[in-house]
Amino acid sequence: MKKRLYAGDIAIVVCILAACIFAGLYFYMPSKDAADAFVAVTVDGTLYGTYSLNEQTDEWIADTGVRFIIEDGQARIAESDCPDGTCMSSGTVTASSPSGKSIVCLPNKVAVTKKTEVQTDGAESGVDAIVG
Amino acid sequence: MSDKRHSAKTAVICALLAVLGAVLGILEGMLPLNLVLPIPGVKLGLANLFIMCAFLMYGAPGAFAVSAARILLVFMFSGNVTAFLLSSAGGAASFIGLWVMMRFYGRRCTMIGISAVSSALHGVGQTAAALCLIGTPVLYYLPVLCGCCALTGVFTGALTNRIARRLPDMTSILAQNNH
Repeated sequence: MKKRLYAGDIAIVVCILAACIFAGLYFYMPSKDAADAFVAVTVDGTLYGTYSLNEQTDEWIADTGVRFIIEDGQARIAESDCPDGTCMSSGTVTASSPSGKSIVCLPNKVAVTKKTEVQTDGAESGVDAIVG
Repeated sequence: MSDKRHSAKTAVICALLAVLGAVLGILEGMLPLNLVLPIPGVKLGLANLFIMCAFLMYGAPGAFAVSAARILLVFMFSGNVTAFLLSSAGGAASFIGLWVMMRFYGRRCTMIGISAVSSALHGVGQTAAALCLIGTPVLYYLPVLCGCCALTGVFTGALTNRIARRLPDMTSILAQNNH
């Protein structure tokens, strides 16, 4: 090798990081506290249920061994039988989280995603009305 | 060149690389990186190092063989189907990136840049597979995942550079480019 580091290397890494940073800044903007903020729980890609962030919930998701809790406006995965446990240290989803922020348990294929009424994707949610 | 490609020595060395990649992959999977960075799927990606070495020694077919063998070995040891599917998708995307970027090797960039691209694409491929299995929520992690993958890619790329320098006879593509 003539040189240890080429200009091309730096250019490539800078481009990738810049793209990631810009995408991150765009997607991770906290959203305004919305009274109608809720979380949609999906299992294996299909909607399992939606829960308002304003109510206390403590539920074991059927067939998966994942327990998710909503407490004081924060949703998180409290227990899981998955081998790595990333989901439990992924933090919480609150009303001020960016819309789309999710906590995912890969082995169990469970995702808890924050949404607001305005952002609901019609094709994805199979519910006609949100209770709560 | 064709003798070198099809000899028994080639097969043995590719097998060694595949096993090394698989074992290091399993070991690094035990590191609790999840506590430092709670991103599903983040890991050091040391296996990519061996795949890149395979590319330097035996070109695209060698790298593909090592990559496929490594993924299958890890699946055989872990038995985790989800991980296998995600790993295959990531490995495929990563290999394609490696293949394309190697054209620039020695002329515009070293393995550092190539590895960054390869690792980032691994993240993209993995997210694409997770998209099919789990749904759109995984897209949330894409920017962070790719950023981290690019950084670990720099690390493995630097290591590959050093290996390539120490083994000039084996890394024949290096010799072909007269570097």
